[in-house]
Amino acid sequence: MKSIPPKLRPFLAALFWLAVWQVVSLAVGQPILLASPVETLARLWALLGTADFWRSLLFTLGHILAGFALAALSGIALAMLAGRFPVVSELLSPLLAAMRSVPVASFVIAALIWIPSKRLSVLIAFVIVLPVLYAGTLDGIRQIDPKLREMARVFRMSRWNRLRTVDLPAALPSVASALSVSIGLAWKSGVAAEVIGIPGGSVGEKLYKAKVYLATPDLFAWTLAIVLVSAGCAKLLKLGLRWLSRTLERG
Amino acid sequence: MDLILKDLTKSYGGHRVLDRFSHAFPQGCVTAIEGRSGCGKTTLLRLIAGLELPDGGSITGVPEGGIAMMFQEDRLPPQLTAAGCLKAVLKRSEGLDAKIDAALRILGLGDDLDKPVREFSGGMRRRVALARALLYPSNLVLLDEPFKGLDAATRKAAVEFARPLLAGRTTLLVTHDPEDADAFDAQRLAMAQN
Repeated sequence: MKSIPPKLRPFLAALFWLAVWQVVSLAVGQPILLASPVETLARLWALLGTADFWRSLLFTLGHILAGFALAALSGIALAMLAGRFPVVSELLSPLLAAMRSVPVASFVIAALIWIPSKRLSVLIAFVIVLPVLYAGTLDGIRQIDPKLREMARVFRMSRWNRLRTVDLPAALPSVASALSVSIGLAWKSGVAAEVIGIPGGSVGEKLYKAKVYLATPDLFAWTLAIVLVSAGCAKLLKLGLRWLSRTLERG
Repeated sequence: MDLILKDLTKSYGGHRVLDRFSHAFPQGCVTAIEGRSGCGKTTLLRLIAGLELPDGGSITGVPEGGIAMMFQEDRLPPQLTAAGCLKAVLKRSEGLDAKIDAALRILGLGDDLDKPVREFSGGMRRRVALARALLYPSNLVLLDEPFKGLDAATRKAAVEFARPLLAGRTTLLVTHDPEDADAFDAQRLAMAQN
């Protein structure tokens, strides 16, 4: 194991589990119970050539990213307010605790009464991500060195310069960590909401239909597509945050 | 305009650090403030800088538009380079980069211009904080033990660098070293413990 280059190890580990999956599915011998990796990839390949696949994927991607972005903006803004005014933090504390502990399914069912199912994944991604980003940003704000803030005050630093050189570099690691965790949460909760609400033309609808028609290769192929797009979003976010971090380093 | 402190009083948790302290700091002069640790030297600077409010008394003659201050700690954003730390507080102007570069080189930091200050030694960070306070355009300069932790040669270079930049500016120099007052031809103010 020591002779294997470290960069290669994650790929080999993934390959190992793919092989296990293939062997188990061959042993089961019924794609309706467990589709093999080969069958999954073949089904995904077939889906990639259909316009309906891309429409559904874009629909869900757009809705989940909208919910995520709204939650990011609101969570960061609320945390900034709470960092400045403790009364805001005290006021929000029970609400956000409730948002964290209420099951996604309860939110989904309640939301279906209030809004059309087409917008469901936006709301659910928002509700699930907001408390995570609020907590992460508030934690980041608490990392800002009060002594550097005093220095900024004495030297009458502009708001922008203070944000760029004092506040953001201290708060960014915590905010970035919350963003990275919550992009995955947004996908998981958003797709789960779609499966329950079944908005037409969504990935959730496709998963639901796969369940109804016992089309296990479809279920696996759609799941693989979700995992890949979710991972792509997380990677892009990571790259963006790394760029921001490097820009702040340069001052 | 002189900087005038009248009957300044400040307590922390029942301990009175300043008790009806009065003094007039003449405009454009350096005043070396000496005294034992805990006698209220740093508190005095913090009150003048507006970082804390006095329990009683008044401060007049603080110029508008910011104060140049060197704190007891360096207070530099750790991710920035030395020049970045200075640029963060200085207004952009023609020739600013060259001015900053020259100042840092005089202070012996020429070989480390690309490094973030978190990689600097304590003495190097002290010199960056000194350059920041001295280049900041204010008629009031508050320096809290600016040469603490510098070796003799570096201290000499820092004093040489500071002297012309403090000319004509009201400067309060908190120090434990009697040589500092001599180096700046400063007036002396000995603060007593309360």
